[in-house]
Amino acid sequence: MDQKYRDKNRTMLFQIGKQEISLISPDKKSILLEKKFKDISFCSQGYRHAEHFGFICGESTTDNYVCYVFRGQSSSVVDEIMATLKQAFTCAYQTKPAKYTVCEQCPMQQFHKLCVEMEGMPPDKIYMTIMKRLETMPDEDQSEILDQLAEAHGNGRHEKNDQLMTLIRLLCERKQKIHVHYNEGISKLEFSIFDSKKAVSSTFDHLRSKAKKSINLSFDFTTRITATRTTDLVAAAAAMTPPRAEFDRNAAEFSLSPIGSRPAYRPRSHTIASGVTISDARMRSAIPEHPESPVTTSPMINMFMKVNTHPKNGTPQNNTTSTKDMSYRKKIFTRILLIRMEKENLKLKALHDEKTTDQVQLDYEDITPCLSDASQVWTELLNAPERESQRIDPDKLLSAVKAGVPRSKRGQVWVLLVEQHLLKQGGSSSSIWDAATDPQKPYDELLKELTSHQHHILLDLGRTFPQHAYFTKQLGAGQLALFNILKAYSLCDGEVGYCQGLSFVAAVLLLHMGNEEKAFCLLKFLMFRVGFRRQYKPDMSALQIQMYQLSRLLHDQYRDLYEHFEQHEIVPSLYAAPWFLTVFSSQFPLRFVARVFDLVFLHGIEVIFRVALVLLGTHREQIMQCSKFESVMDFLKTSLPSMGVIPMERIFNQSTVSTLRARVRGMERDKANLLETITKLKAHVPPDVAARMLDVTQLNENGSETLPKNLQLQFAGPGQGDRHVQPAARPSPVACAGLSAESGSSRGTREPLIELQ
Amino acid sequence: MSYAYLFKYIIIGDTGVGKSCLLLQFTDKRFQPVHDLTIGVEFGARMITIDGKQIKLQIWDTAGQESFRSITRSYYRGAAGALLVYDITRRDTFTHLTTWLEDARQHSNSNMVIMLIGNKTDLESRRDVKKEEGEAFAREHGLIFMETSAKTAANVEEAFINTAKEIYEKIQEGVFDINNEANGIKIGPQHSPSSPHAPSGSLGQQAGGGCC
Repeated sequence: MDQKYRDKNRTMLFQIGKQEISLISPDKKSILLEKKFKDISFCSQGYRHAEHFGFICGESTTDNYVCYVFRGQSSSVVDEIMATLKQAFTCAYQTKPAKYTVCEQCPMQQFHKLCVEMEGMPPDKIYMTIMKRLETMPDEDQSEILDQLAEAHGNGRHEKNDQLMTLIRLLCERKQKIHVHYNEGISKLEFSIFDSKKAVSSTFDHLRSKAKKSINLSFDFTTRITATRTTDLVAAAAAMTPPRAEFDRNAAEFSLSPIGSRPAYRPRSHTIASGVTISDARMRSAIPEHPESPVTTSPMINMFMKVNTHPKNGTPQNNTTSTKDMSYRKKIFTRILLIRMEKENLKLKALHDEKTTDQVQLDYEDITPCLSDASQVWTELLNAPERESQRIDPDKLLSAVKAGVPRSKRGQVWVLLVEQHLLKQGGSSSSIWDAATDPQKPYDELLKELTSHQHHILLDLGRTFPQHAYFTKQLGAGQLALFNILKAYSLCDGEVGYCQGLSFVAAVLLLHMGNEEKAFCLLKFLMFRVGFRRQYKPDMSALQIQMYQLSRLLHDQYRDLYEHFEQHEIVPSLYAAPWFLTVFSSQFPLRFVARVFDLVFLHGIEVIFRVALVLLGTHREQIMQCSKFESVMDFLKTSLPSMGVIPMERIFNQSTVSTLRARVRGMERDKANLLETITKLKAHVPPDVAARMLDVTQLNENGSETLPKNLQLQFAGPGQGDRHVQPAARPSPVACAGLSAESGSSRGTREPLIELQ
Repeated sequence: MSYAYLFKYIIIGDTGVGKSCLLLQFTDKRFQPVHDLTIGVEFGARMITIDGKQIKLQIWDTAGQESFRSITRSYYRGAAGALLVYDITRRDTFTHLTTWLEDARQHSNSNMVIMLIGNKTDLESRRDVKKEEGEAFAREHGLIFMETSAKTAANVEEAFINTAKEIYEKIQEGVFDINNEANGIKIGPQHSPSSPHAPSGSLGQQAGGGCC
């Protein structure tokens, strides 16, 4: 294997669609290879190396067949791929190939129609027709062509027509490259030479239908999404295993017009290489290059044949044209340069688009309107010299967060808060991005590996912020970036792997950081340092403890509400599980979520308790008015997240002040003690009683009326009085286990709950 | 709206099999290919009529991922019916049925009616689990079985309603003790006192407060 390829991330997504297969690079966020089933002639799994498979495929850009060979993760994966391919092939074969719909707005299609229309016309009329069409073109295109025509000094109508058509064709080719087919969602007529009002003469209908057939073949591959990196992959595939077999034969069904059928996709350089002799092109002479070809009468193909004279019969038909040839070549060359420049422009535009995605990504209104003063404070803090080693006064930081965080700087502010957190913990002042200080593998190394959670992650990509523009497109840039982050995380945290809910947290980070790796670092910070990962562990015991804690807090602070919930058997896990697992993001608007994240980066996971309590507390009366289970749940799940911006702001003002910390920690120990007591009791009581008691700890979800009393009784022992001292002196085994596991993974630097003001 | 009974349902099964889509199709009669992930549990409700009686179905749609089981286990309590869903195009969702069934049996009351559902029949061409296999599994474990498509709505109504019919029959047979709410059946607040299953005084009070 070539070293060059070994260093690259070569894990890819292999997608089997209804009519095609595609290979997607989550790295480049692009489709590397897309092959229609109809182009694939053979497909097989490796006999000796069952983890390999490959297929032979007719290439549209050359007349050859290329064999692509891939290596799967294991032979079982390949078995599955083969089974799926078999099913897909059968399915595609049975459902008759879908009718190709021709995009009538394709510049090349329009050009084709123009050719069809002019077939058989006298030169003068052709000239008139062309001129008429020119008038319908955008001004700049029109003047461009006319200018070039003026330079060309063609003699006679015939030649002028040829020149005109060549120029139009070049223009169309150029337009084709940036054209978006109407069946791909966007239907805007950006270019038109075709007079849609005027019906094409019926005399040519039979010609047209024949030509259409060939056009369909030539255009169906342009209707796919950009697949420009094919060559990379061919190289990569070849690097894996050498047999890049090229078969020098043509499949009858695809060789209707081997030259004519690929103008739109042919690299521009071919135009030069094949020696364009434009003067040879005559509208009316229909000399078929392949007399046996059924579509030789297609004027379009004739055009291409002549323009693109095959080297085989390359004797110039007109000797006097050599000088003109030169001048045309020169012109075409400049044209090509133009096209290249245009391509570069497109690239630049793509870059620009990338920047504007920031705007798409953060398309929300800040809850706390960030005034210029506040914004100024952040600018100063962010630009402070030696920012990474200077501790900022916590009060100043808190008041800055309170005053609001500008949306555009939010990502940077989070980074600053993380730095401050690390400084406070006496951690090294090195940058949080510095992968070297981290025993974990760096992000790009993780991306090269394969995760066993891939399937689950893929399933959830389309279900994470599906309404958000950045994540809407299936396996688009947003989804693939999210895939990368989740995949990398699942690889660096084997115990949690991937858990539903994480995708939302990662997505919020990604939206604000705009950079996968940075978002990944922040995710790791939240998970390991802030301690979020405990709630995602396979048994979700930490989440259950949190639900219990919330229930207790409600009991203490809003007794009436607590009793109302009790009456309707509503336990926190019914409504608050997504609040914790997605930091409110699966239900609440992004502006709200962003604010919660601000506080989480400042104060840790406890913020979620505060926000939850304030949310419930401020809506206490409305909740109490709901007299049914469904209406309460509906209020909590639907009405609550859609509250106005002002009540939201109020919630945050209240959420920044809290004295929850000690109580939450105390309760954590209560629950642990409860578990311990039950474990001890288990030895002395009949198993069914013990089971029932364990059920109690399983917990308040059960929501039976007797439950809270039970719990309170249990707590009366260790909980009363010096609750905060006694259990700490002799932590329960459960708490120990939890903590040691935690410190192991976070290298002992994690503080269970972050200090409060 | 008044109703004679309220049945609590729980929808379970692997992630991505179409639980939320089935619920949406049943309650809203629409299919939404793009929807949010279910974290924890979501709810739906609809009124149906069986034997001339209004029955309210209160449906709990649960998260399918393995980690959530420790939480969703508690949701079986008080469920009268369960829809156990698998995806006919993904065999692994079928092979996991045994563990789902174990879970359901262990944490629910023994009379809970379980309907096995093979979903996504609109993707016939990608079928990976034969209908016969589903039938055999259902027979072996004493479940009712149906194949549905949440996309085309095929059999969706039937799946929910047949389950309710089964529960209703069990009530008629006296298998379900409707006075015990742990069975997942509540009696409607407006239920006629002349009904053979009229609530007693104390239960009426309970029903008024505890259910909808």
